Amino acid sequence: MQHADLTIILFEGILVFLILYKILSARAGRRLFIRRIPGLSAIDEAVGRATEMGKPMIFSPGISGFSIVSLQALSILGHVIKSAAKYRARIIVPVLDSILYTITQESARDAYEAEGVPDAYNPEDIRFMPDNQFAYTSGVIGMMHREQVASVFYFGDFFAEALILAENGRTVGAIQIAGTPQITQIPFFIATCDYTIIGDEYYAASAYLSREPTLLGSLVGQDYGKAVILGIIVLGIIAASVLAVSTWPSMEHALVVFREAFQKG
Amino acid sequence: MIGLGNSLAFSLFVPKQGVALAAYMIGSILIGIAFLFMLTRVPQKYRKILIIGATFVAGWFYMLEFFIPGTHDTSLARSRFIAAQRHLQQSAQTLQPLAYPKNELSASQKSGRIATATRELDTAIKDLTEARVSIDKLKPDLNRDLKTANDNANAFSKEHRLTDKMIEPNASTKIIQQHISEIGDSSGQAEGAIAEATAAKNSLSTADSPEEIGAIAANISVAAESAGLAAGAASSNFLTGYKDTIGTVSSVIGGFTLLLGIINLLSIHFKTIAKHKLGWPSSIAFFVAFIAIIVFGMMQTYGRAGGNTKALGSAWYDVLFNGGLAQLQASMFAMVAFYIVSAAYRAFRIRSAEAALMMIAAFLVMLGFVPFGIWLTSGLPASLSFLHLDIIRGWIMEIPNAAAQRGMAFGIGVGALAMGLRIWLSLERGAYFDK
Repeated sequence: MQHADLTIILFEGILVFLILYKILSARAGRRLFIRRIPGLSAIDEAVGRATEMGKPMIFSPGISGFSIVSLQALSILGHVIKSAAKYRARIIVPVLDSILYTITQESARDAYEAEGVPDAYNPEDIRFMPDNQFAYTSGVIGMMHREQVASVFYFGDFFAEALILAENGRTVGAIQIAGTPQITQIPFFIATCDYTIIGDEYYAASAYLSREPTLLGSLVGQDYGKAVILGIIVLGIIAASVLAVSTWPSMEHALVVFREAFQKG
Repeated sequence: MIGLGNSLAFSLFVPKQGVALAAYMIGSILIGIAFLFMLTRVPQKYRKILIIGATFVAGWFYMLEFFIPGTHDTSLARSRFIAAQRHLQQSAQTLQPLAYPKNELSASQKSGRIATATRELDTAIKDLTEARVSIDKLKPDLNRDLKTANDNANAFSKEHRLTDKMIEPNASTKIIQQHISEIGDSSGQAEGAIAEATAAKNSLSTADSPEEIGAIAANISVAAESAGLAAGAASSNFLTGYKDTIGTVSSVIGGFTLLLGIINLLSIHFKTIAKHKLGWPSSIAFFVAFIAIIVFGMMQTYGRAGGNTKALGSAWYDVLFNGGLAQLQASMFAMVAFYIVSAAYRAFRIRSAEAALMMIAAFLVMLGFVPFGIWLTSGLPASLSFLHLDIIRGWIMEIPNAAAQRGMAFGIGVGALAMGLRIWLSLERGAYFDK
């Protein structure tokens, strides 16, 4: 129940303004550049591999339930399904949250319809899984081994199960692509997956895959927002340094620290 | 007309019991199913408009709740508590080198550090006292608001002859109660922090040995933690009380979707058994476990207190849940240890300069965490204390590692804000979001 103070209102206002401004300018026809993200470029490669091998794929939207993170995962899933639908490759989506499960079903149906192959949609490939971290994990591992999947996508919130899932995916020889905003799990995915999307690249995925002006504009707006944060950090460093040398007690403290450093040397 | 509206609202929303409660529940479920059925009949085009509208209204609610200041504002006290915490941490850090038995600081350096630490303590005590006074001032207002809310609730209960069992505190009462509790906790933590900081300041003037100074620094760190906890008291506005209600709506929707999920689960496992697909015996295990946990769970919950049914239900539920599920979960989690070894082997193979750097950093961090590693460098002279493995480990974790993580966290935070904004304003694109 914390509420925004003036600083937060001002700061969020600037970020929202930048994002909306860039969205509007992108919609007005301004061309925007986006750098290559290998992990996202590899999605088509993973779908192609599954098609060639005649084996299914698994897309796991994480274990966090219905949230901004899982909605972003669904956005990426939409692109993966469209790509799979083109080649009639099969994709299995295990979902552990009941609300997310129904949204995923609709999302998958829409994607198949958008590609003109509504009959390729199989409702049983969107699977409802138990709302329990390790029960979900064992269920997904079972699917990997039974179906001998060719590709596995991990996009969403992952925790202790990240490594168990990715190691099993590796065991069945699947090409694996992962992206998560959970910073502590990124190293595990890097160690086990073929491609890993790091940090805020996760939120750049839908813009990168669709090249839709609204999303590209939003992405550039985010970068401007990050530049503002960087500027505030630099200003903070300068202000703290000036304060440290301009107040007598801290100056004395700084001198003590410097003297100690030279004495050690 | 107004009278009719009031009596309708009364008959719908006043708590029920007995047969009326059962009828109310069945009626609510039927209305819910009818509503969902109607939604499925809505053409795709209009359904998306409906979703966009609902998302926009809900987004406005949460945005206003966040941006409208609290009625009982604690922001001033919070900023003071945070400032006090920073001063206390600074004080403890300044004293830290004096706590090393082998430190080579001169008498003037020691006295300089003690003077700086005392000044930080003074500032912290001043901030803590001001914050506590500011937060205590809110108590009378909140108690008066709670009394008014309780009086209103009692008058309503009396008028409609409601029993205690039928009454649940309404949104505003719950928020005021929570607020009073948070402010009480905050004030208590502040009192503790002031006492600790004052005691530390008094002891500092007479402390001489590194052990004494180390103990004082530890006490100051405890006071800093208390100051941080005191900053936790939040404020509420007129919308805050309805957040629980909105959460309940979400849970109700989740309840309906759960039914769809279970149908999917049953259908898949039924077909697996019928077609003898790979792993079909596991599907039989699923049905057995599914039915058993429902039956024993209901026996445990609804069985007569002290009766055989309840006891049998409890015993079997315990076997299935604690004896089965919990143990299986623990086994799955334990597998992480083995997978870490194989993943680490692959990650640490030196194939590039980056991999080599990562391996060296990991090696130093691992050694810095175990007693053997700390023992390896314990014999170094005080002038080389910065080469102690636990110090190197701390530096790697707290400086380059924390900097990289914070950098990523900023990017992820801004990304989530942009995604939330796009969904709220229906600007998101992709399979589900396309118009």
